[in-house]
Amino acid sequence: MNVKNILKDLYKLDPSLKNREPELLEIIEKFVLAKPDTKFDKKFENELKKEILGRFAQTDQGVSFWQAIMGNISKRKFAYAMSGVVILIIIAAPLAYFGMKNNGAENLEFGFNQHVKSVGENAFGQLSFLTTAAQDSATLGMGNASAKAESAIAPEENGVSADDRSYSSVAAPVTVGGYGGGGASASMPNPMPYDRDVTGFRLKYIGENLSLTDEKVTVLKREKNGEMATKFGSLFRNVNAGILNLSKFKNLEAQNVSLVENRDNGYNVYFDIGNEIITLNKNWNKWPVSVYSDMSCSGNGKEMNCGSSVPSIKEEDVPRDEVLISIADNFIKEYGINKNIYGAPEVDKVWQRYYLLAKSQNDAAASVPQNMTVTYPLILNGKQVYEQYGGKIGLKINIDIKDKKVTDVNGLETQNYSSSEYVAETDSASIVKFAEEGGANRIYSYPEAKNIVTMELETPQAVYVRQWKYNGNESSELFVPSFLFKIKEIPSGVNYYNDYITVPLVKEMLQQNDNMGGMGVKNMVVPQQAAPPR
Amino acid sequence: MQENGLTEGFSDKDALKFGEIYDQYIKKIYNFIYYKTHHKESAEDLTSITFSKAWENFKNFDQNKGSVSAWLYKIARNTVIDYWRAKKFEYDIEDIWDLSSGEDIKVDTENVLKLESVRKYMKNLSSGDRDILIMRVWQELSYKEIAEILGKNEASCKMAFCRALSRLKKEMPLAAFIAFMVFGSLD
Repeated sequence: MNVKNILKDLYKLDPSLKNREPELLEIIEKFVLAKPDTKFDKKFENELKKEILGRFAQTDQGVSFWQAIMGNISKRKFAYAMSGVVILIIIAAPLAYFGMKNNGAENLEFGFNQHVKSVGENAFGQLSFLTTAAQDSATLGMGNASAKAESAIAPEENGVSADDRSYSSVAAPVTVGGYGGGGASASMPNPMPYDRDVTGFRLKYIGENLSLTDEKVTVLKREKNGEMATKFGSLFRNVNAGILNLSKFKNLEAQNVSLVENRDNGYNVYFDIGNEIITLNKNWNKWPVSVYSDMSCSGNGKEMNCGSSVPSIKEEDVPRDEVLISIADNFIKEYGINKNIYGAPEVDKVWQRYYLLAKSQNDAAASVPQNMTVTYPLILNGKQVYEQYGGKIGLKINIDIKDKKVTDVNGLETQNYSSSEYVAETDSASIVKFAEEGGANRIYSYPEAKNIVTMELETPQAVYVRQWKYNGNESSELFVPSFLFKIKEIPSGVNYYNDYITVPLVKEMLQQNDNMGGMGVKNMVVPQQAAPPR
Repeated sequence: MQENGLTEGFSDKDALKFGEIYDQYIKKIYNFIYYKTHHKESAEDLTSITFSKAWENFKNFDQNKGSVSAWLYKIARNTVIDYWRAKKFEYDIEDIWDLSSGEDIKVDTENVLKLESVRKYMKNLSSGDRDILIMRVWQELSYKEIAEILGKNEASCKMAFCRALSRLKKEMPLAAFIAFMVFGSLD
């Protein structure tokens, strides 16, 4: 509902109401929020249609199968419709075959319920390298980041969440202010000249004394058992497509499966079978072109004009959290997504800091992202799960705040894990020291900067942090018990772009740091005049 | 329904056309009915009746005399009113918002709390005004569409709306007043 239009209507009738806008907004939003979930059931829709028109279709004068299909689609949508029909047939034929063969519908369980299988101690090999890799990836001037850093993000690319994307889009402009082409690691002297007027950082722990009683901690590894590939493959195994008989192929497995919902405002469903991840996003062919994504002006020399005509989104356009969560909840219900393994939803606020930062530097350049993300945090062994930089992992639902519609869904991953115990760090001083040095997600500083800002770290929370381990061409997804320290306050106008510091609780990971002589406080400094993220 | 020979006299074209209409409006009509019943099973039953009636009368429907949308909404409104009246309450009731608290009526419990925050305002409005509110806020229909469904033209709606304003501003609490201002009065 466009609240602005409602207000406009009101003001036309009584301009004095403008003075009561906050009150008006609250009440209108109350009505919007009270909108009940109607539990509209697609099965009911189909059955009723069948009941009303079905038997008619079976009479002599009834419509044919093709007429019925085409009758629901206007002629101008013929091409899309045909592609939808083709996909329908491709998918439906083996499904029907499989269903008949098994005397009923096949329920493909892909392991989205959590299963943890215990294996021996130290089963995932040495973990000490993980902190080193992380430190290498936190290099200055990420434009030419080291090979290790690049590989560290590769597995994210397919199923990348909006949160992740926002980080990458944020990072780029911050580093372009004359600091590109980096690659400096923690153990290397900073190779780049810098302006001594930039601000350096220092982290100081101010929380409670840490109680570390466990001698072992449980590290988890996400297991991909190939079940999805086999099950999808089995659907097609006996299909004879006329020109090609799939039954002749041995051990047929599916690699990637893409489906489209062939209706207005429908979605694509993408099964990344290798990584056992499902992603949903807009079926662009079936969505109206919004001014924000209208590419019609590109390539005709009018890009600048087109760009300037795009209205920017203002802070006041962002719906309240309850509204965003309600949109996400409704979507989950409508599409029958199982959210049992996730915690209570929350709206990602990371954009606000960048927005305020940009605003403090150049008001005109400050913009609000068109998409907001609602995260249903993943819970593993009762703990929340984070990326090394402090971003929360979970089911992420991105919402276009202009359309008030879900644009994509990320984070639907199979939940099979193996668990292994590792020796825990029990020395709180080591943990605090590691945190004050910037933790596993450290950012480098300029030790000789004129201005040093001290930021305080609060009492940590026990969480899991996802880390990637590479062995040749294979990567393992590990979840390491860690402490998550919140930075109490990042002074306004300061370009420090981590809200949290993560510290692994596996002893060997911290020892690695000591063996390297300590990383020292090499928190990254970014120039204050750097372009704000867009 | 079909058992009663309703397929007689219908052509392929009719069935195809009605299929399109069904696809376009089934969710809107179901939602509209749900907003007036707050109960999934009842809403499904009433939606079935609405579309069955629409199909029965489809041959008589003349698009030159009104839009499909207005036609379907009218059938749905009447179906809901008949449903509530058939329950023979001691007072006149057109939708669930008219009910006194304590009536033994099945509702979906998960929406009760959500709706509680606006119940008192909704109760202060007439059934017609509530329909406007529902169609405008929850169904996002334009004034033009609402006017058509309710059988008025836009200009007369606005006039009726303006005449009511000064009186309402004094009498109603702010919330109800705003609801009225936003959604207008067409009664």
